Amino acid sequence: MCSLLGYSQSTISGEILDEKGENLSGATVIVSKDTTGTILAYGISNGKGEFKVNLKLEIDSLFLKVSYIGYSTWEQKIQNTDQQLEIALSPSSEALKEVLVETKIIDQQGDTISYSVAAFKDQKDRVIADVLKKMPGIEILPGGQIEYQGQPIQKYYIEGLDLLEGRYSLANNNISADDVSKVQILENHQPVKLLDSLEFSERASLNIKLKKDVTVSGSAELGTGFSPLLWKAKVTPMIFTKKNQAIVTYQANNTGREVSREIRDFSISDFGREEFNSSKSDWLSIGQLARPPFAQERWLDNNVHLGSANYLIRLEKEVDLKTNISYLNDAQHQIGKSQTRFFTPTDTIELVENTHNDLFINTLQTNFIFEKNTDDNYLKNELEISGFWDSQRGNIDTGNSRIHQRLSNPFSVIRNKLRLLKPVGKQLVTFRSNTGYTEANQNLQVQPGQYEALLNNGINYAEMEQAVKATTFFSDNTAGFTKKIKAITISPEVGVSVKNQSLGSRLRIFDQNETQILDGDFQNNLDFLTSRFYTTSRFVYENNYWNIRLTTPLNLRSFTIEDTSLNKSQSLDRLTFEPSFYIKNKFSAFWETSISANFSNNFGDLDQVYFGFILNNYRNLQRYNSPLPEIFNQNYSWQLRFRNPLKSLFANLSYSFGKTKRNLIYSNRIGENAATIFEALEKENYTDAHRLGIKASKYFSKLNTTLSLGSSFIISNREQLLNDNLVDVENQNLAFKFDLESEVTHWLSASYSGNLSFLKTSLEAREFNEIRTQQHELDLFFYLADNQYFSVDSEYYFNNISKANRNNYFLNVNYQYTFKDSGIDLKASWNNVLNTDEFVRVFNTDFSYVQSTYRLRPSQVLVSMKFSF
Amino acid sequence: MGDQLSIFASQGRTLRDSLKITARDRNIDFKEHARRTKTDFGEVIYKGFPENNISYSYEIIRDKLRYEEDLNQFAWKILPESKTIQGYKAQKASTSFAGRNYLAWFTSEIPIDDGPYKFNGLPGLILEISDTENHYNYKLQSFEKLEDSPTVRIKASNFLKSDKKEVLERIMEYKLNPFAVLERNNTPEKTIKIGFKEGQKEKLLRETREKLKKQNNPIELE
Repeated sequence: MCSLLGYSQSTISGEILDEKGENLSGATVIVSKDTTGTILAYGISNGKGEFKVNLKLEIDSLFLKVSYIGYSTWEQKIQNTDQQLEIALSPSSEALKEVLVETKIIDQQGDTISYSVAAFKDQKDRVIADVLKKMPGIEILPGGQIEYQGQPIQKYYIEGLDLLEGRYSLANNNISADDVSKVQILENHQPVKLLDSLEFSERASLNIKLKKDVTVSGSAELGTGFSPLLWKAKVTPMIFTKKNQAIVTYQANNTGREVSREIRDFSISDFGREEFNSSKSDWLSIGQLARPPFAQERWLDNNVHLGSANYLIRLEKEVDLKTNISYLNDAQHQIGKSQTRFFTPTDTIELVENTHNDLFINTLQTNFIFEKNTDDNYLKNELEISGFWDSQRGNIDTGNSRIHQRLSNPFSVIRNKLRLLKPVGKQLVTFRSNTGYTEANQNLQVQPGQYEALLNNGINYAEMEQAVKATTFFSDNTAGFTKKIKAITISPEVGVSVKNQSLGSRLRIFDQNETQILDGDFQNNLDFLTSRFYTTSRFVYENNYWNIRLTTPLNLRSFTIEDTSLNKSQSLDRLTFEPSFYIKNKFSAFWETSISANFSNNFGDLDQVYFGFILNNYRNLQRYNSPLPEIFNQNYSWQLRFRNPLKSLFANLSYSFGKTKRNLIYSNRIGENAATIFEALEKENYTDAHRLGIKASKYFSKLNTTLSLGSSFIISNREQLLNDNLVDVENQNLAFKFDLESEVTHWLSASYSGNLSFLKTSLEAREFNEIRTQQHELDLFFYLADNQYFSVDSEYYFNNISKANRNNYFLNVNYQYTFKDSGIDLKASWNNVLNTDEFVRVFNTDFSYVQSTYRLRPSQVLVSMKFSF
Repeated sequence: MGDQLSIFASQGRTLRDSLKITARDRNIDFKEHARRTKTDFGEVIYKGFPENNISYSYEIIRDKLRYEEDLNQFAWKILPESKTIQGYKAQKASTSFAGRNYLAWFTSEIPIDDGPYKFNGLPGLILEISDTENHYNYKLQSFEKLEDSPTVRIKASNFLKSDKKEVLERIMEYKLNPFAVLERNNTPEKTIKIGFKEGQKEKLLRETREKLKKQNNPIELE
């Protein structure tokens, strides 16, 4: 604390106070010979404002200077003797001199952080995604979604324009890194300018700054292989100017690769909103095969072409018009077999189906977006028009009969979404409107005709045809605002929604040039009107230890269902309160616990209330000659979590309980030929499920290895009607999971994952064979050099049920070489080295075991090349 | 000092480091007073927290690890030389710390007994400090008076405290393989996965390892 220079000893001590007499800590006390002399000794006042300077000096008088930031300096000449001083400082407003700030590769101005791409880019990086991954705080998930500091980004702008909305992967994976000068992170970005100072946003957005005003760029990938002949191609040109932006892509392959990945939408939807589902729904189907649970590159036999065009034009300042159009064409081939064992209280029926399916997919999706985003006005209107012209063909061989199926399953949707912000009184109210129309006009033909006992007096006949036309009109409109009262955020909302659906269906049978349209119970002319008035509030309280959320939706729903030709009608009005509650407490440095509870009511939709039979697939004739399904769910869960990052030990224990009350019970009448007739009966019934889970992981730093272990046990009970008897079905599932990940050496990393599952089903007192399955994966990665790697992936699957193919083995190897000068990647993959031709999957439904065999892609080699232009 | 916040960033290194902290510490629930110095990536040094101690903290994903050291561990010798730095009259001083000898320039015109890294205890702000072999060299970049002088108050419960050895081990693990640490921190509610292309992660890890090997010259040698 002091420097020693001299001879005679003295101590100067004291106390430093501010103008109010409160002590100042951290004030500097400097002792020198005179006003300009060098420092002889010094002290700094402590937390109580006290200081002490020891001196060993020959001189008689000293100059004492006491300073504190923001206060005038106190200066005085004193004697070199032991003394006690009390010094009071007075505030000053004297400004400190400005100091130069130097330029940086990362720049932060307010909430904007800019990363210079050049600083992060290396030779190997070609597209902007490669560089983005390396920037601090930015992560890209396997699906392509971008996160900043663990949260998904909100917007992906290119030169400040939001060309692709949530489909930004297309730009991210194709804009050449060489064309980009800077990546800007807009922290706490509020995309709606009107809300900028009113509503705090926790999410970040990303802006890509290009080097040139006009950029023309793109990337391409080409590949080929055998056998049979394999090919893949991808080309993505793009152009960016100040007022116009366009990205176009064409991708095609027959290698089983999913092409829709790059046009996947990552838009962040408004939280907790019940939206109408406008995604495609099929009424009819051909006999399907269960898809294997691993990467589709190994089993999908496809021939896919995808074209997508995205265009943005800035009409005037802050007003944009966007168009996104994509077209997908795919022809898929499936071969497989399924063996189903149906259980009835008295009997067991076996069904074998050898299946060949051809699926043809033809999809056109278009989006037109108009957005006006100024300081005093926000309007966004989004019009979506999509058409699906899909068809399928299937052949099933059951051993004693061959069934041919032809399905035409088109679907179309038109939808308009509007968001408008308007000041009402002192509040800024958000209006949302979502209106649309969907239509499915579908047709299934089956040869020979089935259900001859029911439909044709037991006489065999040539063909049956099911036609269904279903339309839905919907409109949902809400208004709401958000207010913060002390520490609690409250968001009230009111809304009204209407849905009008109609269903028409006809079942025809053909035999020897005779056509008969079945009447009575085999047709539907149904109108289904649903309306809902709702009001909801959301309360959120958060601090470092507590996290509490409560939502209180109150719904008034009314349903009117009428079938004029069958002379059936129903109506129902229900007022429901469906609260949900969540509370989390961090009660020590390493422990936290949470509890949640919620109630919800669900009501059946059009596909669960119709009075005439519909042939959904060749062996499923279905109707719901019953009241509207009413389902009441209660869910409770508790979780305890331990995290000790200092010891790298993490553990988690959870329990949940769910109870569901239904007003209807469904019956499956299984005929001799395994054809099922499905009907609903009015009878209150309950389903319970308990789930217990535990998981722990530990990192061993000396071994560079992470070990994790987990287990779960689920027990569920439900009541089921089976051939007119009420039975209790119990399922018990016990599963174990084991993972090991290790960096063995600097050039070799290994990972292993194992899963064991035991599934037991009992129908009243009858217990069925336990299904045991195992899955093991071992991956080795050899990092040969900076521009080369080699990897081996192996998998093993086991089940105890199937007679043949209980064990499935897979092996894939990959090698990649990057030419350093040209930046071209050359990759060779040998998939399914062991030429495993089938995969067997076993699962059970409420009343059957299904063992499904799927034909896989054969052993194949693929070589591909990737570059930017 | 109390109502003043001093920010130091080391020159010549990437500033990715300090930006993380400015971005995050906006909403700390403050309690105890301390001065705060930011240096390396994720690293924040609180002087005077707890009283008469230095807290070295390092943020890994979402945990702030912390160890404590004595605040008054620097024995400074004031030297006669002086020069002008950025318009301030600065005086030379020397000390030794953790196996290196340092020369510092401080100015009593800014009466803050603070400096970069853990350095403190001179009667004025340290404007420049470097070790005698010039492996570490800090220069004041900017100094400005903050308008609404945010009081830096810290809660011990925001940190996980341990000894210096364990904290440094965890930091090294994190630096060597941040992706593995990230994955270990995943919870059912919040899962972060990184979508590397095959080989890209291994390449990054190798580069990191080589960079760290080259940088095998820690500021604290002992």
